[in-house]
Amino acid sequence: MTTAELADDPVTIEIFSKALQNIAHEMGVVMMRASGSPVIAEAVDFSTFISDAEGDIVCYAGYITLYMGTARQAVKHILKTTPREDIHPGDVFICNDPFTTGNAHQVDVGVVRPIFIGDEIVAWCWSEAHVNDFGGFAPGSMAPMATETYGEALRLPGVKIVSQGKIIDDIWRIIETNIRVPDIVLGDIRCFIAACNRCDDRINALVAEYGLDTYKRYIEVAKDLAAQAVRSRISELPNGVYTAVEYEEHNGHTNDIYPVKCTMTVEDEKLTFDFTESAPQTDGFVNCSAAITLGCVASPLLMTLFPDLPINQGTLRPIEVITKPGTICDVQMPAPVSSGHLETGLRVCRAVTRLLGEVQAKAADPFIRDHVMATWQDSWCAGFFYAPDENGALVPFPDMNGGSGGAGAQPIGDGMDVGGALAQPQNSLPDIEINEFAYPILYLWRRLNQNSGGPGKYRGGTGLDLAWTPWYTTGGQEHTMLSCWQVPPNGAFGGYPGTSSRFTLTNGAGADKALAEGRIPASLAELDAEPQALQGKQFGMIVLPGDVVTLRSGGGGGYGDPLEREPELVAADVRAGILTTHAAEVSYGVVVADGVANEAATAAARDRIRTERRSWAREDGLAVRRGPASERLVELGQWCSPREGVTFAEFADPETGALVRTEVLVAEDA
Amino acid sequence: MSPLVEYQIGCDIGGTFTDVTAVDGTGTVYSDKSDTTPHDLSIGLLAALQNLAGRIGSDLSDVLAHTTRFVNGTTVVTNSVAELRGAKVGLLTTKGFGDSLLIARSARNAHRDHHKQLNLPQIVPRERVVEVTERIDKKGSRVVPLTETEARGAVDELVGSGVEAIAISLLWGFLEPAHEEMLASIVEKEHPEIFVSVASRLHPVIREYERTMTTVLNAFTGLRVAEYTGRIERELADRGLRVPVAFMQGFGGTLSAEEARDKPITLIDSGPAGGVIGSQALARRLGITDVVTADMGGTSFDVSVLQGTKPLVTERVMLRDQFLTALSKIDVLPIGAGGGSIAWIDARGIPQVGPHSAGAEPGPVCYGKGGSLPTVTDASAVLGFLDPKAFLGGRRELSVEPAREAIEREVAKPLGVDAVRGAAAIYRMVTANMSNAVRTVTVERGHDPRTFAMVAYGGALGIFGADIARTAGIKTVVIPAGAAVFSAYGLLNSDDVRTQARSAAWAGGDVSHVAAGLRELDGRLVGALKAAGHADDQIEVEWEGEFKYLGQQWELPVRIPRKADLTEADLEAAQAEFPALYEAEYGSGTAWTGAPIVLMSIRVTATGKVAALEPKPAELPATPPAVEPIGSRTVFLPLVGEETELKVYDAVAAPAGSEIAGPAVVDHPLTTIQVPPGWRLRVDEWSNYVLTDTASSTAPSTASSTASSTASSTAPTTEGASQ
Repeated sequence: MTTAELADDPVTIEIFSKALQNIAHEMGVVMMRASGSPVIAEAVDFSTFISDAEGDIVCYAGYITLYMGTARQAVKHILKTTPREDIHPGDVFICNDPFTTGNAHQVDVGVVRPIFIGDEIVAWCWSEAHVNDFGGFAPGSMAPMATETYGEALRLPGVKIVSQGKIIDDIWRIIETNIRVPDIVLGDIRCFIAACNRCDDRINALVAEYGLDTYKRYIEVAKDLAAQAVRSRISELPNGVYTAVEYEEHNGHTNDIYPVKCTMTVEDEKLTFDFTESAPQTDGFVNCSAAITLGCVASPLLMTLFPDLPINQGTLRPIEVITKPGTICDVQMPAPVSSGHLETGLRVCRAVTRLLGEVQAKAADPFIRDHVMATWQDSWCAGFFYAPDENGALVPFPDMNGGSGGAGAQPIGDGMDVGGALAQPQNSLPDIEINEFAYPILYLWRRLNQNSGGPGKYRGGTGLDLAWTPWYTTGGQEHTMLSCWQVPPNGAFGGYPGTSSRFTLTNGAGADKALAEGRIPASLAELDAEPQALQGKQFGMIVLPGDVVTLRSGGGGGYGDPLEREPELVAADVRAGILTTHAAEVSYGVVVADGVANEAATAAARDRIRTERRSWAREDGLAVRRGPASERLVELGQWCSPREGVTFAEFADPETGALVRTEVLVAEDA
Repeated sequence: MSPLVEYQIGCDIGGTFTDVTAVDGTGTVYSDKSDTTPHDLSIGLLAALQNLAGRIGSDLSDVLAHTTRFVNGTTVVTNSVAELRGAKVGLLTTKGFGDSLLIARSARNAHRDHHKQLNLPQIVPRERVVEVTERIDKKGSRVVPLTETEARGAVDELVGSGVEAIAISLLWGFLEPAHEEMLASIVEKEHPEIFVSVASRLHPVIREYERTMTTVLNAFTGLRVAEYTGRIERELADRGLRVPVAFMQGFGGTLSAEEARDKPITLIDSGPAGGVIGSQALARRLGITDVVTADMGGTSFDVSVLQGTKPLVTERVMLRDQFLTALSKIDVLPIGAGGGSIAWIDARGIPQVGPHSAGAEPGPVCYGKGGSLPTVTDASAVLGFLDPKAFLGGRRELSVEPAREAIEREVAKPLGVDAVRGAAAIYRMVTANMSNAVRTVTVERGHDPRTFAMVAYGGALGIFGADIARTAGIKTVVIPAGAAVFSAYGLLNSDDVRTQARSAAWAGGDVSHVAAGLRELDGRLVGALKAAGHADDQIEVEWEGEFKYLGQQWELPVRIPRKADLTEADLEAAQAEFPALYEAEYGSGTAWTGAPIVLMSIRVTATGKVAALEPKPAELPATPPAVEPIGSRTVFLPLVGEETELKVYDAVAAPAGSEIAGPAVVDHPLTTIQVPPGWRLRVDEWSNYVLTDTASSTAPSTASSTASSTASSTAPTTEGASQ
């Protein structure tokens, strides 16, 4: 079908679709302006969507794209569990249960409202966001110590919170009783309801303008047009079966490795992502629901293959995501899930990013080829500090600087520094002054994490390097967790991996003393004590005045052989402190002195590296170097936490010495 | 001086044209324009003034000698930032935090396409950021005091790298400026040739990223503004101007050249502000209170709202979609829809318009300057709205045939329609985009568009105005006299304005620090206005506090009474007023009942009122005078979907009070006005063209009918919402 063959005028349909898009957007505006939560207003960690009567998405203001699967499942579940005669105009349902309504984790709370025209449900709308707390044994409701889901948080499987416009007080009181900061959270839920109410008004007006039959028909046509465009885009990709494995590490209490294996099949106009062979679910909080796995597949797809297409159910129609119940990608009761999307979910993003990169690079269409990207760090590095302020009031401090990993490099430019997670398009970090104003801490530094972006013709984005010490407090407890620690993110097409992420704690660092003496410590080496390297997840550390906590969030993967990078760009990175001169020389073969690339020395260094590559052992016609990943990264001025069985392989053309491919490998028994 | 020989002159230097408007003591208005000369803006300005003097029928020196006010809106700062061309800037900042501009609080944005998620260009390369060993904390305590040796060393290092301007921005410097002042005084004393921009002087408010970015941009644009303002003043003085030139700010209102040189960045986006201020004056004259202003140029469509004739101000302005600043300016929403916007077919086969533009070069296909991609103007030409011979008063002949071919090839063929219907598709799509923008600034912010009039200016909008208005639910469109030079005219109505904010925390109790801060700002700004020649009784001062619920991210401004003995009760009254203002903004039921309301910062705005010369109204006859068409034109009406023979009228020949019923086309030397079916055009006594929707006045459009229910339905506690 082409638009020329449409029975309806494509301009009219597009004007209609834009009106619908405006409504989903307007819901988001209501959310952002009415909410007080930094997670919503600052990190823009929320989503709004509109579906048809059956829950199929017709419009998605994707602030966070990984909730696409959830939104649909929530409506489907409500329709399945609430008799139709009990659903009335003015009803609002609340859901946060990963096991029934498909939410990412329990602290992501969604509100769903049916939209009636007369007696008929014609649409549903949804608004959802990460709230501060939803009960359970960990503040913030992300519970690394959990071994089953019952203690993680209060779960609400799509139950009425407002009935025909009237608040159901019983439900509100249950929520209020079970959560830590009820005023703020209930305030947020009110703002979700306000967003849905706004949507109801607007959809009613839209139907009045176009007529109900036309409204329904246009929605179907818009889906068909999107599906058709997606099919035609997929048909540009070469058919084949492609596999990638990413590794979930540390489940909260056990430092094991859990493969997330994705087999992608391109068959004419259809794309299939099969996660059946991923690890069985674990008894830690890193498991992911099938709905979130779908969203984590969709997120990189929407960025790299369909960045120009609208989001509706039609967009997803030619895409199939297969998961096996009981695996880490399709969790079943009662395994814990409260950090599943940030852990296993972001590994799904990385696997799909890699597979799309591999296949898009083979397309003839330059638009498709140029939209390849290397994997992102995709590790949300969460630090929580609980300490009394100087008046003795306990102040929980979630440091939003955790969304600071580097983005993957692209064929047209470097990955964004401090980009955050791929699936979090409008991420932003707090000002230092805003954090110091609100919490009992003082930062010693916050800068780009040197050498952290994966080297490449285009380098991966760098992460962040920060340090703080307790301030105006007697000290408290620190909890940290991150998902990329031992297995760094891969580079693409000869690009190198990004550095992994890590926290340290230095007890007895004497930062307060140094400051009093007029010194500002600028590195771990300038502290009075040895730093303690923290595990991927670690809890309950005591942090006293003078002690120092650091986070170095990692970088994204590089794109292309770093020896092809313009020496001037490497020199600029050295001048900016993004690279050390050592890393410039060993990773890029660029010799920088006084901020300037030395042309002759660079040519010689690059020759030397190519010669060395040609000397590597032969495997299947390529020159290959293999070794422990952490050792090789350290050699290049980078870092990942050492782990037995995590190796790194570089594949070069034995004739030219050009790097063709690199890969982080994890042994089965690692 | 006789009022007959008094002039006020407004001059707007835009991207393509430099527009000038003069009003004389009798209320006669003169306008003209000339090409903008980017390499030296004063050349285009003087050429436009020569043209203007010609229209007045006098020597330029004579006109300037009798000019009592000269207001200039300039793109010099806007261009400097847009093109990233400015001074070689160095930055002094706190040790450990020299990467702030690179980190950019994460530069992620709303684009899904990762090609648009890239690192930001740097105004200050990292090697010209020098970290200074010093630290202040949230109480203003000097944790690590800055030593003279350290300060001197840091300044020397930057000076040694050959910087032309130095920005100084330290953590918590707004709270305790001693360290910033020490650094500044060293530069000022020992390197007077270097432009210095100090964060705590410019914007002493919490949030270091936007404060630093603003300070850096101020330093970046400083030299160009100094050079520009100096040259304009010199050239005009040489030609007889005896009054100081006033420069327009993006915030609305003007300031002196000297102050512009100190705070150059405040001149950014002064062009759009001129149009909004002009709309404000027009609305007052016509007795309209609520206005949507709309300006359609070559590349963009800018909309703004005046509620109760007061422009809305937006804070924390993002420049180039990249640089988050602490600037406040008149709230104007731009979208990529102008006469030069290019039409294309997307991956689904649906026609789209913009945001790419053919710009001034090569421009639309029909201009015959080498453009090959179909634009909005090409669609207007192919539909028959534009007279190929009389476009822009005959100054430019349109080649319609190549435009038709381009639309055929790029749009119509893929859609399976003929060229005219392809042009109609472009017209409808761009009209929908523009009315969506109008909707965003009205309906989404809780205003009912049915109570608004639209003031439509900019050369391309005469054709689209009524159709946009009807889609958005607006019943009246005013196309002002001189729509094509309206921003220049608006400058003449600008008062002299100074505004400044600073952090001031208060949650109850003693208010002496807040009162002292307000008095200090008040004294400084009123002093500046007096120095600019304003008498006490011409000066109005407004005090505001930025309040929020404790725990929230963003504040809302609340008026604070201006009095020497500000008391706790006064701030408590402002606190008490806050919930109602909050719910007016966010919807009823959204207030955080029970949460403490805290003051975060204060702002003082001082306005020196300027008496603008009013244009003289024409005599209105008792009955509308007859006006005859000068011909007819075949036009394909895109919203009707059929070809119609339209009467053509000469706008200039239509006398005051005359009325023209749609469908019709009204040709004006600088714009073409479409009067669609169901609309009536009336020429008012000031030669404004007022379009009224006569067809849907009894049946409110559905697009707007919901706005009134917004407030009540956002509250979950109200019954039944809209059911």
